[in-house]
Amino acid sequence: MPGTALNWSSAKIPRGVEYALYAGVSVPAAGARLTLHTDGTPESVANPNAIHLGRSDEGAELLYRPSFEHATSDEFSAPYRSIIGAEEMRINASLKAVMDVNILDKLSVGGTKTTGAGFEETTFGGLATITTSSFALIFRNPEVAAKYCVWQIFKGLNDAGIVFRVQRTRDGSTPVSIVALTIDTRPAAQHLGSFWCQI
Amino acid sequence: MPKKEAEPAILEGTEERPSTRSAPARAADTLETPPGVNEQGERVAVTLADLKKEYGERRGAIVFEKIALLGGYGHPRDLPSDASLDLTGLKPKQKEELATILGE
Repeated sequence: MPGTALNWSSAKIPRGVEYALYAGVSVPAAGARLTLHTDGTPESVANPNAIHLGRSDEGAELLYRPSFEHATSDEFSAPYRSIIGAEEMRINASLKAVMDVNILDKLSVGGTKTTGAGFEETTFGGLATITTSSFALIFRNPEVAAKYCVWQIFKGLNDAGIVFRVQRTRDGSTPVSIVALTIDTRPAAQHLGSFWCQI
Repeated sequence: MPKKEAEPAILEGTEERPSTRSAPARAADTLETPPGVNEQGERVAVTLADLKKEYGERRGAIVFEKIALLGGYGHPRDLPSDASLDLTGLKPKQKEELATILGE
């Protein structure tokens, strides 16, 4: 009998090549995926509201973490049954272009963008409704040209607020943590988002 | 001075009358490319705001809801505030129903 094939493929190990974070990307139909242009950016007609969120300090961290409810009994030392009690999906990053009102509009949640002759403004406070958006981090396969991977949160908001320094010796940036909210009227197993790669 | 034509009265509670022609059809007439319609005249994305402009406030919202439910995107109340729906992933049968919903 043969042994088991070893899986050493380095083409499956992520690295930040041609990567970018977007807000306002389109929500795909059930079972479908974000439409990409050949250059790995969201295709502009299929994603009319997409906006690139600019440069980051150290790339982005992509997170999906279920937490479990374990059922135990006194008679045995380990759980006999477990269910997923909660799920968390996030995109964490530290973004630099906080002076861009369009970016701030997507990240501030409680902010309102205004533009006029000679100024761009974001006002904060007192909004009755939460604004959400669909976010996607797209990066290229580090070893395959023109093949991209997408981590998409179908509906999310930045729950880390806006915090940035204004300092003489260093550029400002704000940490953001985009948390997925459930779209529970989508089919099961795709309420939060998706991660997929072109092959 | 030429007599100024009176602007049509807008009654409170009435909607702006939407065009009866579809966005791709109007695009073909005027060479404009409306949002969400590609160069081939195929509609590949819709937003609530664009549908309201196209079909009027109430009917636009109804059309958006029908599309959202047709494609399994989720109910409009659950979708992101700035939601646009990518129509490229719809199955052929769903695309036929989409054309009926849009009146195309």
